[in-house]
Amino acid sequence: MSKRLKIGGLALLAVLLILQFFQPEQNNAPVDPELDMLAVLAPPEHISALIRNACYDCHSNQTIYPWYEKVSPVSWYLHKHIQDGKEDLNFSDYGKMDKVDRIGALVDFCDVLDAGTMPLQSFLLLHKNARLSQEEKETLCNWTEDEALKVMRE
Amino acid sequence: MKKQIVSIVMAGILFLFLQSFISEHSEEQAFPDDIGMILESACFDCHATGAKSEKALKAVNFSDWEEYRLTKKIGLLGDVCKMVEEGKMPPEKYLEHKPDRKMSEVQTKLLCEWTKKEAEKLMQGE
Repeated sequence: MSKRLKIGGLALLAVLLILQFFQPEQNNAPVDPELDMLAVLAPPEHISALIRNACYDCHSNQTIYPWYEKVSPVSWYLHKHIQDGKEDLNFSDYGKMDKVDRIGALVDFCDVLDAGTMPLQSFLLLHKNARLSQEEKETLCNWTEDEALKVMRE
Repeated sequence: MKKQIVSIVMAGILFLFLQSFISEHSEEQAFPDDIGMILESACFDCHATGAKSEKALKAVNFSDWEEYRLTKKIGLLGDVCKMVEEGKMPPEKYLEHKPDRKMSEVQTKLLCEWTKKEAEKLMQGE
């Protein structure tokens, strides 16, 4: 029995090791200053930092990977999340959106914070600096509304 | 005397008639008739007051349209057109039960033309 367990454990380890050779492509393209939301709108630094920490890992082309997110199969799980996140909203493509979409994105941004649906709970578990206080959410919402009104008047 | 009564009654009727005319036109309708009809058929079962799904109502409640702030309205207008153009709304599941609510291409086009025009109008601050 214990021999079987040992063999099983070794096999599992071997599989995990082999899995490491299969990695998804990392999400870290260079920032395009013409398109990236934070580059285009240039909010004050404390707002930029909040958005980068809380949103950019899944909603931009620049994910910051802690080591455990580079380990397969976690990396694959994360890869899927990032794909989905970017499909919904990619801040790196902000400059490509038309006016209505930019306003919509800014309004939705505040709405998901308000509703507490974003950042995802699973993300917050391991990313403590992505947790937003009520005050920080209000700061972000005031900013998004101001920016949406600015887009409107462009 | 009789003539006087008749003319008073006539004036009264005329007054009421004009009144109804004025109120009909001063009361802004949220949606033009043709758009309202499309929305009612394809969207209101889930996206108007009285619907059961909290989630759907939270996404948009057309009954409360006038209460949304300007930027929210513009964002929603963009979403409405995108959702129907991409065929995400009305959802497949709903259409299985109510296949007659499927939007025609003409309806989709009409709705999107309106959402774009309306968003533009709101952005101009009209």
